[in-house]
Amino acid sequence: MSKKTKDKIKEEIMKDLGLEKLSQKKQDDILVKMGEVILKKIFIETVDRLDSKDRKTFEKMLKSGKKAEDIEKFLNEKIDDYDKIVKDIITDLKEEMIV
Amino acid sequence: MTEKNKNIKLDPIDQENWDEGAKEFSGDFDELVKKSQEQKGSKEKVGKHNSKGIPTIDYGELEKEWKNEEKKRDKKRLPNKDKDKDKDKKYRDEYYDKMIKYSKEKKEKLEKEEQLKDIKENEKELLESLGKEMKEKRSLYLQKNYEMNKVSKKISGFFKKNFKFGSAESDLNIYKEEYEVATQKYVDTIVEIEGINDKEEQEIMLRYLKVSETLNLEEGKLATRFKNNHELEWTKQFIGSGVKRYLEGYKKTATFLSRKASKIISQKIDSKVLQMGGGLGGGMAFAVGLSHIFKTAGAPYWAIRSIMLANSTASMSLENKKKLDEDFEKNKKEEIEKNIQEKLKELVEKSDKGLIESMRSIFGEEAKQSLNKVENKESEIANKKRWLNAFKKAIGRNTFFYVAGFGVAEITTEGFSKVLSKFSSNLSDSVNQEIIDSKTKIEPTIRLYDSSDVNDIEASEISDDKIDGREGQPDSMGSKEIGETMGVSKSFVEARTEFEKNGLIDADAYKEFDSLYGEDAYNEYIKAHSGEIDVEKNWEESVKNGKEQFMGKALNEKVGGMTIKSEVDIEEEVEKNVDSVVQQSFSGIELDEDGMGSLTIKKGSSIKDTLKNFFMEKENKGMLTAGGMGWDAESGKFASVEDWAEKRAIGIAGEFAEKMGDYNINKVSAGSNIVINLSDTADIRIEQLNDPLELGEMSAKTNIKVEESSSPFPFNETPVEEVSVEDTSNKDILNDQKSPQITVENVENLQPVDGVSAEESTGNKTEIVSNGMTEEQYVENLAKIINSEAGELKKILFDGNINLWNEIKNHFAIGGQNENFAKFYRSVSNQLELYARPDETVDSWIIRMTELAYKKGMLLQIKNQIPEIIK
Repeated sequence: MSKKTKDKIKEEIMKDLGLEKLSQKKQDDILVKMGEVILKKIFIETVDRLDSKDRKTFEKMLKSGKKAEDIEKFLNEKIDDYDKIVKDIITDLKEEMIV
Repeated sequence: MTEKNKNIKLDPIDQENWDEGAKEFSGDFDELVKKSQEQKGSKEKVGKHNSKGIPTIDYGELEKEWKNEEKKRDKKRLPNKDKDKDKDKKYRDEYYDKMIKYSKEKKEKLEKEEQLKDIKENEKELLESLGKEMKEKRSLYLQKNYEMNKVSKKISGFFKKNFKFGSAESDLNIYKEEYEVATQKYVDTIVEIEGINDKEEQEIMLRYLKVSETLNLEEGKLATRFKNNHELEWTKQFIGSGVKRYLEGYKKTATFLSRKASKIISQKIDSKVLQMGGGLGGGMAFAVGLSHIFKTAGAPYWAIRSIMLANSTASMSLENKKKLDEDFEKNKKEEIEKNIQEKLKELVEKSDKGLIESMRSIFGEEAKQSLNKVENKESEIANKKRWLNAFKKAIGRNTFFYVAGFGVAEITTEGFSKVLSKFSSNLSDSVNQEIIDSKTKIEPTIRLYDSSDVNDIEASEISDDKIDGREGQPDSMGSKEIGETMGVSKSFVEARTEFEKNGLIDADAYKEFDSLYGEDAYNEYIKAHSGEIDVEKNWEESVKNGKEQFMGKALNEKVGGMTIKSEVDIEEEVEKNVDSVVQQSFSGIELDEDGMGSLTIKKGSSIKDTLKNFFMEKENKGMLTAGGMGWDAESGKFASVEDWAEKRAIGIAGEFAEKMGDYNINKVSAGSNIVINLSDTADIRIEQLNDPLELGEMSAKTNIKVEESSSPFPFNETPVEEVSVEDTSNKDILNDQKSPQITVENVENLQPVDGVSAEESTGNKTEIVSNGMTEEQYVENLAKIINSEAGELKKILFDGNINLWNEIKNHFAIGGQNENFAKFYRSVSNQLELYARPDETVDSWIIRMTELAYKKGMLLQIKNQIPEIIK
């Protein structure tokens, strides 16, 4: 994803949140915070859906520094509708912020 | 002057002094102060003004100076104490007035500062209080929410339906409401304190606070889950690390948004007020104490991608597009891969179709013959023809790919490549024709590298040079040999050889035969019948018939000085002559009218030994001089009679073994007998084996493994110097090996490439398909099958390629010495054996390698076609 595309997307996000007139710094703060929360939520949600055996595997993968693609592949295999879960987390957060 | 000052009573002197002082003081108080300050060299005390333009004065210093001045004045006015009283009084009053005036201002200022300080303290306390309350309400709500969710999740999961939890839900709503009220109060206070009156500004501020608090709430939810779920403890390090990486990554990609923020709004939102109660910034708790790697590149991308995914319609579209693009690329690759595989399969199937059809028939026939013990000469011949045809195609294709420069180079060693290249460059006419046929068939589906490749050459333009890839290079064989071979039929060459061997080449009959079936006649015939089906085949048949006819004539010329007789007479005469020869009594055997006789196999002996002994009987050799393997004491072809007898016996036994298929002729019981056909002493054959115990059959059933020839190449012990273009009788030499046998069981394990079983193709119950067989296994089995036809193979490779034979002989057997050539071939054989597997003969190895070369060539072809497929 190019920087231009990212900027455009971020701008759209801020517009949706009604924060487009904030300073750049504040907008970035919001985005960073959003990313952080989403990251954590996805992670926890993911772990929560794995059984103990898969959790161990997941943990090992993380510890061994497996590629993100490999991790996602693993999660996709182990968790039904993994992509949907990720998407729902983000959508829910977005709605919470906008309402 | 204040009332208090007015009531002060001073004595006259003091008053006078005071008045004087006051005069001075009031005259230029500021100057006095200034002067005083300057005298002290302290510029810091002056020059500063408050917001109202009043200099900021350090009264402590001023009073100190004032006191010093007082002392001076006191000394001065002592003599006129009373006189100065009034002055002093005035001075003092003015002084106090001024002092009070300044003090008031100072006091007001201090009071205001104090007031502001109080307000701020109150505001801070207020915001902190509100913030604290909000956090508490938030925590309570989240805890309640977590517990509620946990319970509802369990119950819903158990009963597989959603439940309402009445009072518990009401309680939760209360907690939520309290939290929302607290939040709203907090936010409103901030807005109020900031004094934002503009509605838009207010809206932005509220939005900002709302978003911030939502994020805090979500963060709180996670914290609650952690707090209540110790199993998630281990994830902290990864989350923390992930967030850290994410933040680091984010900094690098931080953006500059195009919309410029309102200055006022920015100032307001950046104000310290927002920092008092919390706002953003509380979410980094997890990021503390990070140790492990969550995966450097992965996490930020993962998170950012997630954010981008759902936060706006536009981003959704963009991300969807990205995802779609990825899917498309992935699908495209899969599609291409699929296409390649299909094309490969298609190509292989197309190219292999002829070969497989033929092989399938052969496999079927082999199995059928083995099972039913059918001794049907016609079907056997047909079978051989099919096999021959198939093999020619295989050779043709392999040569084609060899020529195209694929594969072979990688799998052939220097020694083998030499031999292989000879194969390709010395194929007989029919094989060469097959090459052209194969090329023509393959051409539509295969494209080679460039215009110089053979594929761009019309089939009719392909010459030997082009086929063997040696275009423009000197032909070690000499063009004449090629021309001779190319210009006449195989049958004619064979016939000419026979005429020569029988000393009939100078007969008129031969000359006539030559004019009717020689090179010119052949070319004319081919030209006249071009396009017709089986032109070659018909011509060959004609030549064979003509040979028999003119051979009789030639014999008549030579033998008996017969005059012209009718053809019937001639034939009868020839038969008589032949019979007279045949019916000469051989030692050790009695022949019937058909020239058939029986030989008994003694204990400890074999078929070969029995034949050998027969040949060595008394004067038998003198009656067995016909043909390439006929006894010839003068030529030096054979070292001794025994040598000759041995080789000839091996050849005949080998041919018989080949005919017997999976029956092991090496296993015979004592007292068995063989029926041999001596009607044509140039072509002696074993017609039958009568073994009451059928040991060979038992051996075949128990011996699944293909038996190896003890001498893979018959040429190791064969004198070949005399073998020439004209020599067609060397088939006996070629047959002098124990052909590896393929058993029924072995056939059953075979699997054609396309998976069609023998049963399907022949109706035979024997399955030659086994699922899961690898390509290599198939090729290996194919080699075994071909190996089972080893005798025939040798005919094709060597007997059928006399030019090759001569080439090798001329090249290596200097001076035509037999021994040198034999040595050479032994060395070649040994060399080649090094590359063969322990379980295969050199022959089967060659076949396997050429097959692999072919397949490899196909793969390379496919690879080169990929761009075309994509298009």
